[in-house]
Amino acid sequence: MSVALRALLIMMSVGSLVYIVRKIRYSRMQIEYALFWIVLAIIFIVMAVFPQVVYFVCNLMKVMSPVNLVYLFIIAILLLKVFMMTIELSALESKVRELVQQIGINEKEQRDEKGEDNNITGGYKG
Amino acid sequence: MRLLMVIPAYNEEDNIVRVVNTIKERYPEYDYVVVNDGSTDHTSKRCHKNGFEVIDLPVNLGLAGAFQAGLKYAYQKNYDCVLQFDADGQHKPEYIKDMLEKLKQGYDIVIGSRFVNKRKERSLRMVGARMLTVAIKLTTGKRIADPTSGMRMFNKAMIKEFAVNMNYGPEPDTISYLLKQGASIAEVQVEMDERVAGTSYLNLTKSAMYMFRMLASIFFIQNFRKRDDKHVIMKRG
Repeated sequence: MSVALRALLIMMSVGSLVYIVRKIRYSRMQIEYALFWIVLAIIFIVMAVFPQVVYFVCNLMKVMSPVNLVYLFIIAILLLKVFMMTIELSALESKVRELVQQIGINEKEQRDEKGEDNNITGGYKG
Repeated sequence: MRLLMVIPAYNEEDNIVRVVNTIKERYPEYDYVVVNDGSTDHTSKRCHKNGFEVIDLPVNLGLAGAFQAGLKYAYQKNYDCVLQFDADGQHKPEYIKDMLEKLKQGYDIVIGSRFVNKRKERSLRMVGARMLTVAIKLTTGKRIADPTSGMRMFNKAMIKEFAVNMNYGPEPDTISYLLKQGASIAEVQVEMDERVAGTSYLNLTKSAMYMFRMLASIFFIQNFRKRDDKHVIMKRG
């Protein structure tokens, strides 16, 4: 790996670490979500500072150029993250849907208890 | 002192009636509220049938979210202190009195601890607990013998702080953070029962993930957190 690539990796990692830490500092992010980015940044820093690790895995996997392995690793991690986020997003969406429906039902029940809807016209008014 | 017991319950149909009935019959002086965390079994139905105080969450939020719902309720109803209490019958209400006495001495949080005077048995579970004790000791300088105990009592200032903020799960990393911020935390010796029915939420993988999250959080993240100035407690002289 070239010195430039290693420097770039370190700079990006340190930058994102600082950013994440600031988010946590002012309670803008949940710790569970921050951990992923912190661990990832630390892995990048390790790869940049000790490229021997990358060379070693390169030899194992018969990859020609170490930089390709770094790309491969990043792409794989990002794909995995997007996949997991899709699952989380769909769980989140169904939770929101359930919540909204439940609020609607609760409100109707409250109105029913007060007897406000018991007029002849019923349904929507105005 | 008005005390509210917050009892988060997720799929505890086998335990909840026994646990709440014990409280109602033997300790009617304490208020309680069950927070049904979107259970998929008959937890909610059994609570309503028995006329229990229950907050039904329409979706599952997890322990932190369910507990926070209970604290919001306590905050809105202006309670003086809250006890976090398990729905599975592991916690014994006879120790509430001791904990309350301790809280009245001016502590912010009182932990019902299994290991104040007793040693931990040698098991994998306790290795985890010990690691957390060491982590908290290293980062705050204070010793918490039983950081994973789920039986904790919070005073009025803490109720507000837990009710309105993000990243205040009822977990060891929050304890470590609050210690570092100058909160006073005491431990009272209690005994706990083995779980009678149902299965524990934690298996080996989940436990390992939990330990990783807690240790990373205690050693790294909690150092950078800034406390909202509005909720800083007065330092006692």
